[in-house]
Amino acid sequence: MSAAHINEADVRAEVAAAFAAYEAALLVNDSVRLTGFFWNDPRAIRYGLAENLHGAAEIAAFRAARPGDDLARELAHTTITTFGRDFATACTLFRRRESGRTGRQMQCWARLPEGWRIVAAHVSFLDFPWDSPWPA
Amino acid sequence: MTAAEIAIAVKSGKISAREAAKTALARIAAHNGAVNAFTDVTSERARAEADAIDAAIARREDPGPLAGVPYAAKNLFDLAGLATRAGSLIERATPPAAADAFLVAQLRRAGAICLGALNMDEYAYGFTTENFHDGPARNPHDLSRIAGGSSGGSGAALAAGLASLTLGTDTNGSIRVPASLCGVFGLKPTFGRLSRSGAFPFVASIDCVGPFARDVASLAAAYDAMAGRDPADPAQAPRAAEPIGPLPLPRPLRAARLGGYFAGEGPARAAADRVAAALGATEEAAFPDPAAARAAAFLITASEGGSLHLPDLRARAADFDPNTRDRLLAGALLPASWVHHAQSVRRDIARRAAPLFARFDILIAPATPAAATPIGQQTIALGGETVPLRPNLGIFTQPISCLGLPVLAVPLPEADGALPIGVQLIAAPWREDLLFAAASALEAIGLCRAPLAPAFAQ
Repeated sequence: MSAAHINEADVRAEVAAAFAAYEAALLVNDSVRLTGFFWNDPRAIRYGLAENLHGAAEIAAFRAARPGDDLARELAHTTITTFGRDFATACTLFRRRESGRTGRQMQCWARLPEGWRIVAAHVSFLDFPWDSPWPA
Repeated sequence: MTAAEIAIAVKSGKISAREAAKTALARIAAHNGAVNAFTDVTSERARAEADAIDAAIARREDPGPLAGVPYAAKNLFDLAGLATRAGSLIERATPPAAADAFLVAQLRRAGAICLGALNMDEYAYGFTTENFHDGPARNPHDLSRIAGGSSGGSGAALAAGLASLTLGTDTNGSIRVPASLCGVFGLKPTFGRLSRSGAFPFVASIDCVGPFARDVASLAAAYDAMAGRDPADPAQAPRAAEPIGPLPLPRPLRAARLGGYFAGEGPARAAADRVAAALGATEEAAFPDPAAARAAAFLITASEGGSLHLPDLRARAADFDPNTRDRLLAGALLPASWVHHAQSVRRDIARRAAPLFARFDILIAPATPAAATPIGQQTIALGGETVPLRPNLGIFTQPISCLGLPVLAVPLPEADGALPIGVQLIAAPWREDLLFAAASALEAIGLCRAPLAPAFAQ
């Protein structure tokens, strides 16, 4: 893939909008909407903080049962990179507001006939000093 | 396409800046007769600026973050070569502006294309843009209704798709009221944030300048492009620009709904309640003495406005818009002690409001008490009483701007039948970043959107 096909501005803007929409749904714990961001396919994968979810059915079941506390989080070092017109990675650090726990999230997004969907994701906690991108 | 999308398309060569300008000028030619948003169309300038952008792209130079984005400015901003009428008859006899206003120059440097100047209340003293000299700006969602004011042309041009970005000014609500009634996003930054050089003044101690857009990313791009230190503006705070960046991401915010005075009624109340629920605002917060803040704003506005125009009021009062004339005359006659008292009330309330922002990132209130009213309507029923419409459109905006706080007005489409209505997101001074994070979340969940008015969607 030539460098010209990495981070084409219009493709990156589409993925960034989808990523922002996912983050907004997370803030309000809109489980229906959150599930909708994932590829509705047995091959979709989400490795969560304490669970391995294989396939859209397991992801949806987890979302429906997810406790609604300590979800609010802020992000840092969010990096969205698109490759060609139909694939992207979105990586970010996060800190949960209530507990202060820090962690990482990586997502692979693909443009499918139904739109941009997360086809694989991994979230984990790791303690590290939080360098907030926001003024105090 | 949104402004941000146009810039991407132009930079990548999918469309030329010339095409973007041509499309916008054709839409103005087709629709401005119905909307009356533009008072001047600078077609030649638009084409020349577009050609310069296309030439820069051909030379492989960076054409700027707003490359090819067609915009227009309230007609109180200086546009080089055009008399700055500020909605008046009197000023249109003044010599053409020698240079662009600072904000216009910043947008030009960012690659944007100037389409012209927009209708407003005379000297920015009004909330309806029923301009006596130029005719009323019409609301694209219902042409029999007002666009709000005083930056009515700035709201109407966006809602009708005649421009992709617009500039306005806000003293007591003149960005937030038309943003609400026309259903678009509007930002009144912190007092002292953006340079006012080359913008015709109204109330020097309260006036702010700011952008309107149809989406949050474009509003952020416009705001970032406008930022910058301007030694020519003594009222600008000596503070480095704090850019929002291309992607204002949602983030967790401590939000509270302002209650009491700011509760509102009917669709305005429902809209603010929906925004509060979406931002997880479970608490109600009390703004200190909002009625006194509003009264202080009224006195300072009338007095500073009246003294600014006193020579013309003495020499040629008949040339003023009848709606503006009596307000300015009355303001010129206010006792100085009332105005000094108003300034101390203002400082006292700002001091008492500060602790709210230690507890909350965002305060939520309706932007207007109702959706757009019919052109010519004189009164409105609020709280079971019939009150004059024109001053009361600013009932929720005036106390906030009196303290210089930054506010982002977010639109809820079809909040009152087919009509939109706006909600104020309010933050501590200099915290526009929080406003964009909240607006981005509200846009991302689909609650706040600014679609073109249906009659202009083709």
